[in-house]
Amino acid sequence: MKPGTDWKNSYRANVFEEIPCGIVVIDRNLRIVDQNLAFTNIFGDGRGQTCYEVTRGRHTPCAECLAEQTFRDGQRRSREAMGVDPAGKPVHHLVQITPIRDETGNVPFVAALTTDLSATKRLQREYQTLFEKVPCYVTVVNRDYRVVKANTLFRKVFGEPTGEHCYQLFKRRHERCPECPAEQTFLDGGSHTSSHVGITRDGTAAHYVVSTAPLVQTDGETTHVIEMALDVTRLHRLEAELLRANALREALVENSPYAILILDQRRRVVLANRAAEKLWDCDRSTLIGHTLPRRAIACRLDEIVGRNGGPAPLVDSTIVTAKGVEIPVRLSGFTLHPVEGERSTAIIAQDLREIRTLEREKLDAERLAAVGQTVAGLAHGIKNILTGLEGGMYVTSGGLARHDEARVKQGWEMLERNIGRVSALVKNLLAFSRGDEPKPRLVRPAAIVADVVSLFKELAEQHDLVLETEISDVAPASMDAEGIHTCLTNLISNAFDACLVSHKPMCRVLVTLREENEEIIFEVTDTGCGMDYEVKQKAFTSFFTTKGSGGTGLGLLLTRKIVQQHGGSVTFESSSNEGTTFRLRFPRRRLPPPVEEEHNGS
Amino acid sequence: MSREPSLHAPRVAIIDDEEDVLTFVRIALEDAGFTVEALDRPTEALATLEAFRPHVILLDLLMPEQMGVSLYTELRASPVLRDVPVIIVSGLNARDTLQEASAATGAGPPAGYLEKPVDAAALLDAVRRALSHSGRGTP
Repeated sequence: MKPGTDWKNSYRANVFEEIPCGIVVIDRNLRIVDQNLAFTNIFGDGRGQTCYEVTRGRHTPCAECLAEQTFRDGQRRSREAMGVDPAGKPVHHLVQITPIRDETGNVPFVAALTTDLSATKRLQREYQTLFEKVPCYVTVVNRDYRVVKANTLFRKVFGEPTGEHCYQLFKRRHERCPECPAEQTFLDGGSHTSSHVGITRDGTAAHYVVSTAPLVQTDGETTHVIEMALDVTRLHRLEAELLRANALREALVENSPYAILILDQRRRVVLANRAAEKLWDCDRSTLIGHTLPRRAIACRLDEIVGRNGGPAPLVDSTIVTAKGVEIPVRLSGFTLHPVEGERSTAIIAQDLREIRTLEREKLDAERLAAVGQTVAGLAHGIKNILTGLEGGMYVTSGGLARHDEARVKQGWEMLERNIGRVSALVKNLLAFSRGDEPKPRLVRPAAIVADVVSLFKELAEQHDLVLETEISDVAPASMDAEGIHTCLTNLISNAFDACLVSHKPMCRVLVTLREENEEIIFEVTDTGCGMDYEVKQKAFTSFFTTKGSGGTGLGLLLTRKIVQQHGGSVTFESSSNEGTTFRLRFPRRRLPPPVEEEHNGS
Repeated sequence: MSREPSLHAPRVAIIDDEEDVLTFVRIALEDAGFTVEALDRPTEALATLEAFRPHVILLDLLMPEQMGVSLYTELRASPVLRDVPVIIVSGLNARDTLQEASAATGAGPPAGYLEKPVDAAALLDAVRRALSHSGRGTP
């Protein structure tokens, strides 16, 4: 043997042994005559046994045996096959059959090359799963930008691709996109990402982030590109909504008629709106980023911030402008708890200057109107009295001229009555205009009711009226007994008058006292004539009276004044011909505190 | 000299809730020879007036139960009383209210206004003037 031949045989034998794919040599009886290390590693030592026993665990030859075919025609063949290793585990391998010829050209043996594909197949399966299940649209496009493969999500949304261009499917375009990441990848073999707006099957706009990568490269040239399109439409919509919401918030804050400041925990201004600039009379650049001076807001911040997320209190206070001017304001505030970063405090300030002026003007106007109404009402009352006096004089003088004593008496009574009216009017007017503060002391409300009612007992009997009371045991309260006495006297007197003018055969007047929910309630109900709409409208008007010469028109007004001084309210219900109920309500918490007894009667 | 009311004397009605005003007007007009119906309840006045058929009506504006303005529009709507002159006797300066109400209901303005306090001479003068305008003789 030549040395060269030895070397050649030696390395061939080495290659046979070491090559990382199983090689087995089979005779025409399909028995293994030789096998290399890789085959042994997969199937164990099978020499002398049949190939189908060793690789498949079979007892008969396989159907369509490749080796038998090659023994017949001397052709190479290959096939993927599933086998079983000695441990019984399935093995996926690629089998290639190569004929081994002798000098005469016959094929006494074939070599079967077995490549273990199990790992490759697993990887392939994994990649396939990834490709199919990834939650974005994955497509493979060729150099013509036609989609040759698409994943499950893509097929679900866009249907099975049948060779359309990617721009047709994603964007309904008829030509390539101007900035195509796939084109870039075809050009440079790198990965590219860009944002795109497409149209979905239902015609709505969809936003994608598209990434491309080279998939198949042949001779350094990319032939296929994988495109991954992530649908960010929802994200895009959220972003747009966020931008809109932000713009709205900014516009609201900036255009608010109220001054808005946001302070961080070190009292530094982080936001100031236009109204804040105007209120503090300085440019916001001098506010933002600087600590708000203590004197700029007269009250403490914790006084105006709602506690535990509750509603912010409205605090009337003052602010001091940059130029040192004090301005009355109504303040409220709240704490901002951001998801990240430190807490801050928002302050809302309403400039009260205009409101204060209007309030003053309204009060002045009301006072003037009240004076006008008082004067007009007074004049009306006096005119009636003057007419009565005029009449009295006429009747008296006529009687005197005729020596008619009855007529003189009649005229004299008219004079007396009208002079009495003048003095009653003046007395009530004084009582009303005195403006005395009530002098509350702890009194038993029931005692006042009983006292007033006893004064009317006789009058009720005279006029055949039923006067009844329903008095609950109400705890002592801080009230001006004289004032409440006046109120009840007025109301019962009105009730009597309503009964008398009704001309009903039997009228009732009921006076009740009770307490409900910390409110002391007096009621005077009559079954008299009741009030029609016009009278109801004018019930609390000064000098309005329905009693002719009997009333001054001040009773209800005085009653209301006294009740209001006690923090209470007067309401009434009435229907024409059925009767009226007047109700005085005194919430206990609003009653004035009892005054100190005066010790030295000075 | 007082005269007894005669069947042919002109009839005057006065509606006012002031008892003394009623007494005064009644005596003053009766002294002058008129037949007088004095009413203090406006709600019941209409029927009485339609029966009494006055030649002149004196009406107060501010009264309980029914304001004079609404009685005035009722008078103007009554087929019996619509042409009877009405003189408003009131302490209330209510010409505007009355004009609005009469315009709204289509009733014409009243024949005259007498503002309280009134004396007997002014009262008689106004009543006589209203009677002569309506072509009625006066006592």
